[in-house]
Amino acid sequence: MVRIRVTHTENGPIPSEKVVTIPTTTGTEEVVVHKSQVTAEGVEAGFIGEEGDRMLVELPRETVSGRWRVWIPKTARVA
Amino acid sequence: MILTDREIQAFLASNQITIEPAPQPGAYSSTSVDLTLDEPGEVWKDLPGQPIRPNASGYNYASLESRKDKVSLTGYHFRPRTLLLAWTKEDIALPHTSRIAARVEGKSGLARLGLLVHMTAPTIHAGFRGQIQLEMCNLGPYDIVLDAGMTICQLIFEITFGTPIKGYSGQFSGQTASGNPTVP
Repeated sequence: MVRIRVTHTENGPIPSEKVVTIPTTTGTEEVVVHKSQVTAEGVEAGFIGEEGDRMLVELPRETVSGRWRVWIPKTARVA
Repeated sequence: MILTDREIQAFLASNQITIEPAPQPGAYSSTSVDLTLDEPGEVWKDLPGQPIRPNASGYNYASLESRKDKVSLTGYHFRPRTLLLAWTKEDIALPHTSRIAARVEGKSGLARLGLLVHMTAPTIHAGFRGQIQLEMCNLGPYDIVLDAGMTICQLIFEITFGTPIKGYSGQFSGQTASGNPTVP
């Protein structure tokens, strides 16, 4: 597992959830996650692979736009 | 393979599955466990002439939330041919190291009234953590009165064949036989 920097966090639709915005290589993605999956450092994600300066990760849940896996800049990884 | 009640309880006892609050003894069947309805739910506002375009730039969480209202699900009159978003009270965790996934399914007695609890893939993936969101629809002819705390769905647990890629962390993460990181 890796941890990805979030650019924005807000309350989710229910108290146990948060909405986080993460940077991707094409912009940003929003994803609703369980509050335990977000810390001050970022949100947990699964490492899938890498290519050049980008990394493919699987997020804890499907993003608002419908993606599970997204390319993020390697610089967005914090742990 | 589908887990039986004995195996579900064994996995719960060893924290390979967690369900909080814990299901009551009567919530189990031979191969499933019932979950209950939480407060509140969400309904879409009636905004005629304002279509939603999922592929548009600017499609985001805030724009969707502004189109929804929270509703209490205690004594809630679920009208025919309407959509309700709700959640299970139970918070579920399926660590990917447990090699367990699940399916959320409706209850037959409620289905015969016309109540659907999900519309798309019922899969709760290995690694999931949280309360399960339900996309509910009333296809019956009558209002169905819901009450928070009522049994609303059931979970069926299955053993996965292998561990997902994201479950392999550490020195072998991303490696292939050729030694080059792979991107599936």
